[in-house]
Amino acid sequence: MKKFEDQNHEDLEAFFLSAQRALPAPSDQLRDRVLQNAQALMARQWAEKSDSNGSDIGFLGGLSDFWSGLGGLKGWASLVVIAGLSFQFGGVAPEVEAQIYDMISGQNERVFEGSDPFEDLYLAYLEG
Amino acid sequence: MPSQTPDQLDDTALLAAYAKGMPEAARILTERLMPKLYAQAYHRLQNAADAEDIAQEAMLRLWKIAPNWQSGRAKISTWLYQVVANLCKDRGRKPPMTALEEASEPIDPRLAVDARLQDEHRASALYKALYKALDQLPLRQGQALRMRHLDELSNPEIAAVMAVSIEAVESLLARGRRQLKTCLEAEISALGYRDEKI
Repeated sequence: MKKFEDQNHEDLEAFFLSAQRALPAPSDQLRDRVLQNAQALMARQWAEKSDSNGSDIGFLGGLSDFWSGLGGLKGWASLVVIAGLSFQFGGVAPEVEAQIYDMISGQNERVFEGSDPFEDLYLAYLEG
Repeated sequence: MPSQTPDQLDDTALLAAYAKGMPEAARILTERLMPKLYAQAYHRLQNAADAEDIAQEAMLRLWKIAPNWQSGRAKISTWLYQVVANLCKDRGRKPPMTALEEASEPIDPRLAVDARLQDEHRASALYKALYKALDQLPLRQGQALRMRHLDELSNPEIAAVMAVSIEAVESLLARGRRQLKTCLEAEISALGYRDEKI
């Protein structure tokens, strides 16, 4: 192993050192360009990432848009109230209408007339 | 356990931090890696503008791969080294130093009025002779010597880049040095530096 290790190459050092010393320093502009590239690429990669995240939740995004289009919570609350009232006056309306009619026409009194538990006592008292 | 500052993080951790949107990580990685990439490209192409273009391109590729970098794969520095080597190969070596012949005139001490200039001229002749001699070596010997002495990679790093064992690297370096000395002797003789120790 030792036989291949650096040996007697000090005499080459002058040549390599001259090459090292001749190396010009990289310019500040190069450093700036490299950093600008890094920032631009970072911004682009983040933009692409957020775009792809948007497509992943496309269905939820659409639902969110639909929700907003309906006016959000207030819109939904209004819809629920309207639907409830519509059901009440639409589905139960005939029964309510009949009750109202009975109240107006006095039919309820007739109904209660026949079911008076003291009716016989009252008649017996009159008769005598 | 004290938390690490960004400067103390290794390259892989910094790249992961960059991928998560930390600009400071990009700055540290740039300061840590870019000068080496530039030096590597410069030693291959001997042209500052080309070396800057290649260093910038290599760093750009690093930023691009950041979100998908797998920590178990090669070291970032080794990967970048290969990127720069390929970019240099793609760009193609320029004709070896057209100025070499112009600069290789032996210095006549009687004409050298400024010792500093004489030293610069001598140094310039030395490294140009070195580049020329490296080009004459068998490909892998030249690559190993460049990595070891110009790019200052360790033997294990060279082994990783060249996909050989460390022993094979040591063998390449030993043979390369012997061959390089032979080539340099011829170069130095041609340059008129006959007293240069080889």
